[in-house]
Amino acid sequence: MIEKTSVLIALFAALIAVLGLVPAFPLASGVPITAQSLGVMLCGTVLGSKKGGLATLFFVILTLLGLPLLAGGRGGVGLLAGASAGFIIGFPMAAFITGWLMEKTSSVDIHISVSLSSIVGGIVVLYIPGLIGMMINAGMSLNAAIVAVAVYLPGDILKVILVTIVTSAIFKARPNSIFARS
Amino acid sequence: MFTNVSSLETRLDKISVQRKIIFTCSAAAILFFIKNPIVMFSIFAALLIIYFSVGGFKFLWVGLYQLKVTIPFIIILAFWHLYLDQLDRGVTLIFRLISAFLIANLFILTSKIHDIILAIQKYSFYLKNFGINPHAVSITIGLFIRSIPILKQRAKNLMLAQSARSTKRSFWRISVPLAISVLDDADHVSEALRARGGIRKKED
Repeated sequence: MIEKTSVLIALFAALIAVLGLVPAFPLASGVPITAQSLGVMLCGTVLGSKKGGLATLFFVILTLLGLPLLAGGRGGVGLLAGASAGFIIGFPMAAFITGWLMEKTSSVDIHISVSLSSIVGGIVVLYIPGLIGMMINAGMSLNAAIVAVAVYLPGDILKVILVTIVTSAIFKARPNSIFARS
Repeated sequence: MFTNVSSLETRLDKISVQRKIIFTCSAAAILFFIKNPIVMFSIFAALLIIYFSVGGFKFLWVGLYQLKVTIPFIIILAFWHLYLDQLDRGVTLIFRLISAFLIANLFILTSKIHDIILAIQKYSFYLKNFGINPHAVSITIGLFIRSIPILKQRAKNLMLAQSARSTKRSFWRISVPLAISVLDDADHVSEALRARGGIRKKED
């Protein structure tokens, strides 16, 4: 099954890259609103912790090595000095925790399971390194960084709703394709 | 999406990607230990000189143009540190950001994506020391690169199909068929891989 795992990792990493082509909304904080965090959540809810985390890690490594995969054609190790650094580093952790929670709540209704996993993994876990990154790279205090990232919350809530719709639809059509539950 | 940003030929194009990756990562790491604004500004100035000496004024302009993505963050940093009255720290952070992007872009602008992929694939073979199957990594990289334009085109096709049914253009309406098509592709491609002998085991 190594073939299937490799292909899933490659295709979901590519899906995150393609979601970067959905127009991003640049915000004053320097971290744009993009659909790529949606892809990160989707990696966790569909692929589960290990595969989802690896797909996202793969995407992040190739981006940091210089491929222009982030929204707006950004890439390269220079991203680590920018406002998005914490969020980029947090992508694999977010996908892993999202997937792990999906696996742990596999007996719960799919809508609740996906929503809960995406909120905890895709928002809470992702925001922790995101805040640390903003504090280090922008020299902000914790309170100021929290205020700066608060504007992303409504968009992220919408992403959680969308991930719930997509994952539930996949589960309804092909239950075995939700690897976090199989 | 995967194009070399600069069409200008420079002397750095001839240097191996591996060496440039090592230089880029080391230089970017060193930047994080510099706290003095004058030293940081000197590094920025030195990088501008390197850009100019490598490819002339045109190449310098291309490098500076690539910095446009950092403008919103630079403005925030500037206002934030003026508000805090920490000018030294603000100048250091701004020039660290600009210098890190200039270093990374110097690598990207002078390296073909194809060469970067080949270098990653070549060095992925050392991953076997960490228990990771290098053949699987190599195949995953190839599939990833090949899949991006395919998925991009499929998203466009789904958008077109959607626009035939509704005047509203919304991404979320195509997200379910796009995700299911990715899972379909995964089934087909993994079957095809297995039919052609599959991925070699680690010990091979």
